[in-house]
Amino acid sequence: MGSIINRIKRITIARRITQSATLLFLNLPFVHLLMVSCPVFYCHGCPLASMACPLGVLVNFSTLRIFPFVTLGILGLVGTIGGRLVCGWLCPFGLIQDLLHKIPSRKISLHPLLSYVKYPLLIGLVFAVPYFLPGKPITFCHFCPSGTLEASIPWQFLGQSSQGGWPAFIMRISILVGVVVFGIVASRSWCRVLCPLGAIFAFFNRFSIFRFRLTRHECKDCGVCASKCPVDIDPVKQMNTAECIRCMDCTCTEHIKLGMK
Amino acid sequence: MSAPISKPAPALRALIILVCAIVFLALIAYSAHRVRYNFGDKSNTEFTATQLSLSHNLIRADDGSLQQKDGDVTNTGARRPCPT
Repeated sequence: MGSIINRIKRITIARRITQSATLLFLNLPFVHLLMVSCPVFYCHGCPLASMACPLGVLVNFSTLRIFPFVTLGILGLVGTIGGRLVCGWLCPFGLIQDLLHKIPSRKISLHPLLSYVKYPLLIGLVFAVPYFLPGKPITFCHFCPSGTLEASIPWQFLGQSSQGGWPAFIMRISILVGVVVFGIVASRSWCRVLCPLGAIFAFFNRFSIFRFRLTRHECKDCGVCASKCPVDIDPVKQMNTAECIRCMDCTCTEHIKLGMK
Repeated sequence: MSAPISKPAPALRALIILVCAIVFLALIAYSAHRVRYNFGDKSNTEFTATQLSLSHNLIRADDGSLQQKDGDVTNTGARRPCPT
């Protein structure tokens, strides 16, 4: 058991380093890569932003009725390589979710059907609404908690108010508070239930180049891997399912490994 | 407990990966070499369109054409409140 705890600690430290490094890189104002989408959930409205949010670009391009070749290409390639690996290892909002769940409180487990909510959100608020109702303030970006945290709040302090004035700002803050509370009581709740980018990468999880592999004859069905999973899946029975964020916490048992086979 | 999920056969998986890699690389390559948008009295790449769209300086006009607002802001960055 001691070796499992040590392995979990090593994996967690490694993830914190990569997540923090991504957060730092995306907030280097002297890096001018705003014309390129980063493959993580982020907001380019941040005063320090160095890259574009892929969801923001998809919303804007749907509004303009332009096909987003580069953004879809980047997301597709990243998904093909690792599926939702970026959700577990690179996403700054994932880091926030991980930290929020460490706050002591009553914890709840989510019904598996809730994980399907993100798909209509992706199709509706990222593609359909901006395309068919351009200019209406009901796209994903208008409700995005990442946008509120990284753009609306900092810009409010810098003296520039959000479009829609205080009512819109209060609405966005309320959504952010809801997401924060949801993140405290349920592990990775945003990623599992609501994240449209997670919905895109989830599509690739089943066949991506890097995926988990179970050495079945060594598995003793001890249940440790399932108990460590932050998204409440049983890696033995649901390996490489769409909801797996590839955090690698389950690899602490050594019967599960991330590889290309 | 949920039922075990099925996994694609190795050959099928390799084929899917190959197709995906080719398609998504082709999307980027096609955009870089072929895709041009006419606004601001010149031909622009998708990267320029992306950067302008972030700051909402690119709009679809009533006649269906793309138009650039506020002059040339391609080098000013897009750091403005989102989604405003």
